[in-house]
Amino acid sequence: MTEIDDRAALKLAIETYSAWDIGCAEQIKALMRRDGWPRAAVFAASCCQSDVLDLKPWQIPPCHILNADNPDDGLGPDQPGPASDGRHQAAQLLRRMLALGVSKYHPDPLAAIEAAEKRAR
Amino acid sequence: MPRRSSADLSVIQLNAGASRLRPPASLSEAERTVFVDLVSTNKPEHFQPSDMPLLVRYCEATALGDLAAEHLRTEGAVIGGRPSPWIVVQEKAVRSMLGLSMRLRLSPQARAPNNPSRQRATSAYERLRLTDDRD
Repeated sequence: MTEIDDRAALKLAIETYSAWDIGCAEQIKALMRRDGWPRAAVFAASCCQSDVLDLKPWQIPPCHILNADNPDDGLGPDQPGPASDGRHQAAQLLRRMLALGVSKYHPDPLAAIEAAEKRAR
Repeated sequence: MPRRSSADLSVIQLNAGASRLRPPASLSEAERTVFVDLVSTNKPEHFQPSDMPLLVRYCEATALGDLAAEHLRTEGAVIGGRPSPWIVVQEKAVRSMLGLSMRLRLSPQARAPNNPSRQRATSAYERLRLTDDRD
């Protein structure tokens, strides 16, 4: 399995989110100044994944799953619950991503999975 | 959202904050009401001056849609055995509103989070769930 490059994925997430519009670009810059690069980048990854996977606002993107084998890990009691927050689907997607060497922070998980599967053939 | 009276519209907003766009003089009374309702119920920074052309078109379409709806309510959808011409007017007005509301980020989908992207019939998670159910 190839080494997963989380930093490259996070950089791509920031670029992708910043490209949405000037408001997003300004928002990410402000987040980087206030909270630092890593947190701002994870925020960008979360937004990009939620958008490209067409998630509802309360659904969890793959980058927020701490343990792909147990999606309940790290999720607080205020989460809606597995019936509606998509944690199992997020974990399922994350397992596929990790198995193919795709970073959990990739802003477009499905495209990255498809590209990795093509390379593997 | 109830329509505001002309007296209410003439009241100066004390808590203007960041300046909101003001309706251009070219708007009719009905269009002006839509404009003020819209601008005053969104954050001041939601609309930029560069949004004005789109915003004006949206207000025109909304007012026209309302007018068409009123005609259809009072005159009926069929007049003299033929479909009312207001049906086409309403359809076109609604179509304009749909397109403009996405670009002005007025629709729920467009509001979260600065979302410029296309819509799919089902989300990736729903498709995964469907796949699981069939296995």
